[in-house]
Amino acid sequence: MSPTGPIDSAGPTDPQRGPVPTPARPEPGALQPLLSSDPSSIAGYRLLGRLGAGGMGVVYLGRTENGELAAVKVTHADQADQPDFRARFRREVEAARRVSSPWAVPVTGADPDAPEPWMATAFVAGPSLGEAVTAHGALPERSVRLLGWAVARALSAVHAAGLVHRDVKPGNVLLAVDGPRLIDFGIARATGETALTATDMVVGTPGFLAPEQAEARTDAIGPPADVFALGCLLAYAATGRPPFGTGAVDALMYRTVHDEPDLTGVPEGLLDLVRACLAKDPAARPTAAEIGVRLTEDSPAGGADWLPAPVVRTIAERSARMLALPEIDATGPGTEPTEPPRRSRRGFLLLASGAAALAVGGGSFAAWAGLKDDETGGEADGKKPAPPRTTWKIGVLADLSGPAKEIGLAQERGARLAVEQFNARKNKPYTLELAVSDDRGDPATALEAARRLTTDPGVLAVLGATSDDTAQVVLPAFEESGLPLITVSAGYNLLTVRDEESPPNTTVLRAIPHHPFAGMHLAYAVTLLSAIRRPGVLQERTDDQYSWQLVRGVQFAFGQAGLTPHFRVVPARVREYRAVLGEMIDSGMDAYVHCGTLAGAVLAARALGELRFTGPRFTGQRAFGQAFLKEAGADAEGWFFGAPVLDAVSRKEAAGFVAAHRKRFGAAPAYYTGESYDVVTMALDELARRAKAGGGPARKGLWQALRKQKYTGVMGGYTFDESGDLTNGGTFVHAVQNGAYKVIGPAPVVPADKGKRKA
Amino acid sequence: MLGGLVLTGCSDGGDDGKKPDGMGSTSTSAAPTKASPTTPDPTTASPPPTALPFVPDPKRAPKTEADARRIALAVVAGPDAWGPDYVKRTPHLSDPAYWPVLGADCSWGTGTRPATVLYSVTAYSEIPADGALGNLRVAATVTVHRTEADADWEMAGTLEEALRCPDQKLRDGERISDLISLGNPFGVGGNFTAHDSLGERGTYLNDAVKGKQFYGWYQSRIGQVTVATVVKGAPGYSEQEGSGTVGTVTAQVQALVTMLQRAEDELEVQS
Repeated sequence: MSPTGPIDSAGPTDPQRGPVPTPARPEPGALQPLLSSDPSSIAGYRLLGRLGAGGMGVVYLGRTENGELAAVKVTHADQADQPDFRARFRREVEAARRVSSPWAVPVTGADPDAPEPWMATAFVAGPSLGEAVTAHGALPERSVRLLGWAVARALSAVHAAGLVHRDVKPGNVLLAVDGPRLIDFGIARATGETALTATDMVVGTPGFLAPEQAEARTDAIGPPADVFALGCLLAYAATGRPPFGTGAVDALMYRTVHDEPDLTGVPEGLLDLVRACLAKDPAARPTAAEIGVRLTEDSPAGGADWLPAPVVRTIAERSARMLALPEIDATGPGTEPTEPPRRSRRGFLLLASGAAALAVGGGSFAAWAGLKDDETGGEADGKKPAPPRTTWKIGVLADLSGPAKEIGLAQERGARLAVEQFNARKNKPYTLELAVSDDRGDPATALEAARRLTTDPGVLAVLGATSDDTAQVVLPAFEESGLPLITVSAGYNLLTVRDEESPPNTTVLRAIPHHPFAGMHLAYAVTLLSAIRRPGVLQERTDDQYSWQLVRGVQFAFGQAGLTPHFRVVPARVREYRAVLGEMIDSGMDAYVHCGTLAGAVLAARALGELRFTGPRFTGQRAFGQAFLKEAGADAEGWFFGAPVLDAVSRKEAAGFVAAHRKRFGAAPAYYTGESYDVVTMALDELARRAKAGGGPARKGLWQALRKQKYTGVMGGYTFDESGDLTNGGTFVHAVQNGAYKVIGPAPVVPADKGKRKA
Repeated sequence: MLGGLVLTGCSDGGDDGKKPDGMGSTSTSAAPTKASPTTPDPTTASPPPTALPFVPDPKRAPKTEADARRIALAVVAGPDAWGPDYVKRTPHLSDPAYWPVLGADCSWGTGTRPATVLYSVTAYSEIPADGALGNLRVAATVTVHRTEADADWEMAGTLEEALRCPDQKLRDGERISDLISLGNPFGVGGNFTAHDSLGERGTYLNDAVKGKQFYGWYQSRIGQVTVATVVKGAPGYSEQEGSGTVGTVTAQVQALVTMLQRAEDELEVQS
């Protein structure tokens, strides 16, 4: 086994490079034509050629209807019929979809139930680390550090998703101009598959296996095995040699288990870290996250200069070659019919580097800068100078078909109207599209819905998410891709608030108060009623995160007001409220504050009606809406709501907006539509300002610019603090009168009449 | 002095048992997952389960005080479950009638066990003072309710206590203050070990010990059984391992999860 041969080869299940073929593969990564037996498309992917084939199946290069390239790995039916294969495949694909890192190639589609199960990942055209080192020799220390940082970040995300890669090696790290990409994170890799069971194949891995893998101690293989392999990878990148040498597999295994690595030539500054990764005892190795932190000061900032120039040239050539195929240049259905892509060489590079753009999602690096060049014309060095155009978009991530669809649909309309009005502007810098992704209000699928937006480099900012739980799930995807997420309904405080050890939020902009503040405002609204002395506060546990944050705000505010509430907490499944509410009434409760969701508020309303409670009743955002009126019926009368939105029809300033909405949608705007219209218009105004100043459309810096806005929209004013939270109140009191909500006014942000109360 | 306090605490039955040692918090919720023995096999992808993988056997469900006593004593965490440095305190187990109640004045006193509770026991452990390290006192409580709904209400009641009384007097010379209590049902906040969990955290003040210490109470529910662990901080200790301080949260979570495992073993269908 030569030092380079095995490394160049991909593992048996590599989705980018293919289930490895024959030792005599002519050109690694080259695209082979489709065979007559190959399908012309799989699911939504039009197949362009073969990237590799082997015992397990075939890997194709495919293209989506949107023109995105993908590596589509199809597993042979006989493999798929092995016991448990499909269940494991499904489980691992689900886990892989939770992997969120700009340095890990995302899974973009899969069907474990197809006769031949398939999985698609974003396509990265760059050469593998193995190919680059073979062609150009060892990398300089700075490149190795950046490589280590990015791969460690990717592994950290893989491990966080509950996966172990198990095959980290030079063939599974692809180089793009803006940084490396880890591919093939453990999907459908046979359980217990190790070099020992794979010795009859072309094996690229033995030099990169951890001792516990070499000994096939399946039970002991966990994230530390990947860290060991990362240590090998870094040593290899720095010296051009695997640290346990090459040669016969069994000897290599033996050395891995028993010998010290040969780290001669590893730069001094990396030696300790590499040595720690290569500890024989898995428990003694640092975690991937720790490695990321140790290498963090060197994270790539300067784009392509993270690699030596000859390697960058190789990337460019490879990319151009891959993309110059006629079929790829043909316009597929659904891609901008008015503007057939005519790509310059630079265009090829950009498109490839960003496989790049696809994975990084328009992050902060070269790929993005490149796309901006394109938009403004750039300097094309090819024959046909018109570069490919990016369609710029505003995204909407909303619950359009789940439990909060009333709110989600209202938000989509607001965003749509704002974008349409932007496109109607005479002096608009460019035309925008609205990209809508329905997260169905389901945390299990929300990340996938978010990725449809975050991986589209044309998306500049997103309105969403609708709900707390989906917002939490999608946050990492937005953070990793540097895409601003503007919400008018998700009040979960930790979307913006961070502890001291964490980097501050630079992703979420929240145009409503977070729940603890909303709770404060709600309690301060109670203090407007000066006769109230003994509020009863009930926390209902259907959604602990919401009810707890609300009740903590309420507790704080009543403390400020000098009132001692009577607190009760009820379990989530309780349907019978009379006993608890009866006890609260008996203890002298003169106002009721409900900290909980809609269903509990309705139960409480009915029970308070039956108990003939006469005091005022208050609750917050999660019970606010038409459903409460409908379900509580007559018992809804006399309730007060602290909600983060207003009725646009009640505002003179919104008359133009209301009229436009009626014209466009045939109805008055619902709650949350006006606020959505405002924040999207605020973002569009900022983009227009930038264009006027000569700046191209970009995600970068947009959150920071929006955060500093002092914006007045049709629904009111918006200003934000440093963590991206609304600063100026934002809770409005609504009363139920005659079966409808009536706006009372803004909730106070300080206790009313504090002095008297203390008496 | 410390010994005297311990003696007093235990003999009056009002020591770190049930309520008088509450704790919990936002970070609590995440912690139990990390130490959980049910951590998924890392060699396979394991998306978080959507429900606790626990199938109770109705035939094994405790129905009498005797059933409940047997289970509670089998489940409750002694020093072995906390870690090698921990030893039993004397007496090690609470009196069967021990049932502390938080009064209207936010002071803990003795009460009568409600009819919805079949049995409850608290096991006291400690790390004796050693040089710069103070006497670290911990306890584990198991409460067996008649029904799951009763246990649900106990969880709610614990959350209620921190809202009603963020500052509580445990006994003369011992207080806890600034209590914050957060519940996490299964699947929320990293709780993948129990049907329900809560964490209560605050500050522990002991007249005999200089300065403020931490206080933490973790409580989880599986079926009709609740288990809780409490740690009252002492000099030289901190919740998370710090520079120069010994961390306690790992032991606390381990004791909690050990009890959950034992409770599952006692209650689930035997294959």
